[in-house]
Amino acid sequence: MIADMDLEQLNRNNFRNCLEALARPGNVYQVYPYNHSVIMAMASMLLYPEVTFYQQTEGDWNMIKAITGTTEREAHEADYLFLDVPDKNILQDVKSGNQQNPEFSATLICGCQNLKSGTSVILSGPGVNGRRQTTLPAPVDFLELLAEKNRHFPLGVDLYFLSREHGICALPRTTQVDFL
Amino acid sequence: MSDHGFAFLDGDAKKEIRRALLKAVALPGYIVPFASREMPVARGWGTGGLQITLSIILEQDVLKVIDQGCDGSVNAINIRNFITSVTKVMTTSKTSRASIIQTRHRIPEHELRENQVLVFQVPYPEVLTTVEPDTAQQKQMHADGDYSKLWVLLYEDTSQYGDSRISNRYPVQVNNHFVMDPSPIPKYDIPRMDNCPALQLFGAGREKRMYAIPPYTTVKPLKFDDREFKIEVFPGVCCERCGARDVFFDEVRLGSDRRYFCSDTEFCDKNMEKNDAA
Repeated sequence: MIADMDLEQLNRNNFRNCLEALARPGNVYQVYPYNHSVIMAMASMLLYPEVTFYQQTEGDWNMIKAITGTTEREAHEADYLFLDVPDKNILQDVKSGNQQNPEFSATLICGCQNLKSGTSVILSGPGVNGRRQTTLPAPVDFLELLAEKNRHFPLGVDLYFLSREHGICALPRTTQVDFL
Repeated sequence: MSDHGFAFLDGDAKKEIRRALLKAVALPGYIVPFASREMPVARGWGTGGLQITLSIILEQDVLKVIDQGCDGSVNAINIRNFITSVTKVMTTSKTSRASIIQTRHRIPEHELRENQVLVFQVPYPEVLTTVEPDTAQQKQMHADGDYSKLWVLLYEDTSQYGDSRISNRYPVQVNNHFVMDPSPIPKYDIPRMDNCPALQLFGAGREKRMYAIPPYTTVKPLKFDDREFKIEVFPGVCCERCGARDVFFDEVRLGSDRRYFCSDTEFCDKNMEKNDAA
């Protein structure tokens, strides 16, 4: 099925899974790769001329720029940031929006090996039915900084973890993360 | 379908709507502006809901479209026909079978489940419009969490009439933060938004705005602590077709007679089938 998909079809399938992942934090959904890369697939799905991006990953970003018409920016200005691993220094700099326009905030897409190992946490908040125990593929200090960035809702950062096994899970700014 | 790509909208239009949708889900109840496109129906006839549906729909989805609970009204049929003409998806009138339900002014009676998306058509997305006409000021009031003018409106109604006079579009607070317009659904449907397992998306094409309520999110009507939120009740009334009680009814006047039928036609049909089987 994946081999048969054109780019539009790939984008809409990946978007739907991305939307479900954001609406149900902690749940894992599938991302279909583009050009053998799930990061490239996310970039192709999210980017278009009205948004900007920053990347610190391997991949054919010249092709992504050519097919999406998107501009690359510094980390502190970018709407979407594509990272190989969760990076605390970059998270520190990204924009969180402002009180009138909280949507002027950054979205991080962080690569990881898999979504089964990492820091054990309990998630709660919108999209979570009560509380949900899971693991997040990021170190404690990164998740602590994320919690600090998201402390003053509606300001904050939305984050997706993207595994090499083609899984995606999301942490919107509304999700409360408690460490086990 | 041959004249357009899948789901009518071009790729960049979908990406713009999808960007706004993701922000809306991350900010429950917050109104996200977006570049609303011209659609082949007039603005104000469901173009916001239509653009959301077309941006999220997949080949494997099963679509249901209702207008005030009815699968067979002109607006619902035209929107359903248009979506199927550009996507070839399957359609249904059964709430339990649908994966995407586009609705105007009702939430289906049948309990919604996870993996369903409810797309509302919204005429007036800004809840503060009735008390503050200035859009810049409205934005500032949301930023400050300043809903005092809504509370004053509520107080004036309560002091003069004993309760709020708002019959539909009752203001709700989402996730204890933003106050939003739930679209012109009756008060009967407001408690059913609270902690709903389905994802709820709201689109206002004419106003170029959208917002969302993620699943399992707190949705509370604005109400004074010492006043109970009262939904519409129909004491002693049952549906003339299926005999259902304690649901939301359409009142039909035939001469001097008032007759009542289930507002949700699929729910009514299902009851009829059960009655026939019994």
